[in-house]
Amino acid sequence: MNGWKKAGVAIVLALFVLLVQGTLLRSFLPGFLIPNLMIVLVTFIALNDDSVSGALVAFFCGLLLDLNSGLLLGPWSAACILIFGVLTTLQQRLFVESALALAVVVSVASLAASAVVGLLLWQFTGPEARIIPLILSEALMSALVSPILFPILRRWLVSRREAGLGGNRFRAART
Amino acid sequence: MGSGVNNRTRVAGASLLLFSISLFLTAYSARNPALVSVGSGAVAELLSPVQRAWRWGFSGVAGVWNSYVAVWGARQESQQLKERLAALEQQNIKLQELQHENKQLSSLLQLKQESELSGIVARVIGYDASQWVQSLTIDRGTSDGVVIGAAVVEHNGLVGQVIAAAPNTAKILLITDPASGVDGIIQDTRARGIVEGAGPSQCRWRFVVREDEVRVGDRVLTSGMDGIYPRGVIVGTIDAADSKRSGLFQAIEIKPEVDFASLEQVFVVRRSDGVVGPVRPLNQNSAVSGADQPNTAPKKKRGS
Repeated sequence: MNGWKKAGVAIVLALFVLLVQGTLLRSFLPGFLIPNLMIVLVTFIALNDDSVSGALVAFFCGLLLDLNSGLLLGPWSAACILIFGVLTTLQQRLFVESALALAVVVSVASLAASAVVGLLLWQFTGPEARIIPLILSEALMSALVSPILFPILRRWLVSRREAGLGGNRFRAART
Repeated sequence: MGSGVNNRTRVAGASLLLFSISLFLTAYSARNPALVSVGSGAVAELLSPVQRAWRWGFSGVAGVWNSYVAVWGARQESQQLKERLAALEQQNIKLQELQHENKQLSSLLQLKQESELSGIVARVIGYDASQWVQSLTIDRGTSDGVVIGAAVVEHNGLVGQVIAAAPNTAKILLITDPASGVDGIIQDTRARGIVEGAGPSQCRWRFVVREDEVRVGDRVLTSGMDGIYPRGVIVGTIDAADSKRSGLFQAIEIKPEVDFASLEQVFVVRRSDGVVGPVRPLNQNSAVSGADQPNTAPKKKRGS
């Protein structure tokens, strides 16, 4: 799959993730049990597609979250692109072959994203410490679902040929 | 090797550029809420058909689930009664759903009659995907007359205000969001302050002077002085109050009257001139003195 076609599929997936997270999961689960699936998707893209199109998809994923909240544009897109940038930089040094290592990477990414969003939102809404337990549980839930979701995302976004090439970028998905 | 370094440089450059754009967007959208409203409305419109279908189907799924739970108990007692019981349960659930909906609509109608409010009933079709912003999406929009700034209530009390509106959907900022502000008074003592959001199911009441008498359990209502929310709608009850702390104002926690997690239908308030919008047009705020008219619009608009 070429980069832009992959980006197209990722954008459709991002819209689907937004629907699942904002409608389906919120109907069934209390807030503290809902993972941040968009961060899982961005982490996957960062570990598997270190290209300009990947960066644009990560930015778009964040922008979708911003547009969904309807309050400010930018905090989530900044968080997602920052996660993408950091993970693609560290990609060669990350050996996320086990489910546990992958879960740790996703939970750290989720916490980092929350920190960035929190910092940017606090400029306009003031500090709100009560959300911290929710952020921690969100990171935990995201970590728990990532070993299940990564193989599914790999099937959608990484072709067999690419997967056969080996290298760290595809090892991440083999959990 | 060289191409790998080049690619890494390109990706790092693109990431840096996009990060800068994000920061710029944050600052720009804080001063230009219309930009967020248009974009947010477009996304809500895009997702709303699926959200509506999901909400419609959810009642059915919930019914099937409840039915399953009920039948499980009956099965242990008698296998023979299972099919009959299941059919009766299905019927019962349908009736319960209808009764529940009827009760909700009656409550909204009662609220409308008691408080002389008029407006439109809307169904909740989605929530914010992240934990950071307390907002939800309803299935009514500008084609139904909904405009930005309109107050949203439920039969139990105040829900929030419209922050973005598209033709068939609108975004509601809940009163529990830290960016929300409501001018509130205590029903008995008439102590006054600004109710701000403090997380998923809590509010805090700010700028209440220490001399004002505030007791746990007191009911807080909207004062109607902010030009957005109608007067006399229940916001919540005082959960905790600390008048002994240092400073000019008391530290007060409010438990909202509305259970936002199980919100299904809301009521978007219509103004006396027929527009489903803020009680008084927002642009008239500037004509009223700051003391009488505190700014309770979402805080991001303060800079605009």
